[in-house]
Amino acid sequence: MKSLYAFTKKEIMDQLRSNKVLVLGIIFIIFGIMNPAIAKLTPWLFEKMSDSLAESGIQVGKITVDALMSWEQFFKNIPMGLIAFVLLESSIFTKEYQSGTLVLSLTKGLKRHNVVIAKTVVLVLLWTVCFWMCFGITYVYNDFYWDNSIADNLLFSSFCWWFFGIWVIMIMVLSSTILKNGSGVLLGTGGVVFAIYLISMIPKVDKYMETMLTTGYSLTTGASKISDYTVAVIVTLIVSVVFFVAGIIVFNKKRL
Amino acid sequence: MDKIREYLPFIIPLVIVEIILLVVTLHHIFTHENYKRGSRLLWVIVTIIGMEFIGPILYFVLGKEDE
Repeated sequence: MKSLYAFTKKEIMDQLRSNKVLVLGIIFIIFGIMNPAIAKLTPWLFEKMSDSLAESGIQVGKITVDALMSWEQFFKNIPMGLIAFVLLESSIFTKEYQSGTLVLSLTKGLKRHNVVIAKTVVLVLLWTVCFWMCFGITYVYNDFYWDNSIADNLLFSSFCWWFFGIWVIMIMVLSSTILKNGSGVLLGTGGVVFAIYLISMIPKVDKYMETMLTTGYSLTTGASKISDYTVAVIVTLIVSVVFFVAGIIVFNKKRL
Repeated sequence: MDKIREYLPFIIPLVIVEIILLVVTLHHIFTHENYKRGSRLLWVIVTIIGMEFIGPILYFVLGKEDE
């Protein structure tokens, strides 16, 4: 337990020292500010474009902006945040395989499963902080300019997206334990997410797939109910746990 | 003028974040001798030209040497 704590602390220090936390934090702060800013600018943009649109026969009516528009931007931008997160963190295991620093810690008595647990904890912690910081900034701006109460189930739909991120992290952990280099991890993670996305295009199957969690925006408009999401949440939870355990098992047998 | 005042709550935090990122990046570039790719001059130019976030982020993703 003590070595797990120490190793987690070392991982956090590594993250801080390599400026990854700074870059990720700033990316998510920018997204948090940009969501309401884009919503706020929309009427102005349409005003600017209305002349050229009128020439092609499109009439622009009056546009009213509300908090939902800003939340729509939030759900559109969060995928980019997740991609940036995966890009920056894909080397969390592999850079240690290449430099061989893990062998040192392992020969000093650090249990192998503690390595996987510590790195996963750090990733989950970082994603949680970044995601909810972005959410919080957008929330405060929306409250300031408009009214958040028109968005239904806001916390649950955001929770779904956060949980989707956790699932992606678990894929990353599993592929990091199987593969040897960072680009392989990127390809593996992207490939699995893309495959699941393709499968979810089949009607009736989509309800059981993890990608269902990314459609949380329809919850805020009231187009879908929370009960539609329970299956997807349970499936994602089970799959995440399975990936995590599989990651530990693979890592225990891995030759470093 | 009123138009600008309306957007001040967006602009001020963005400017603050931008300046923090710029200072940290330039500090990092000038305190390190070696980079994964490129030279010090290249990264200073990239950081300053792309100071609206993209330059510093490019530096940290592509240019910063792994320790």
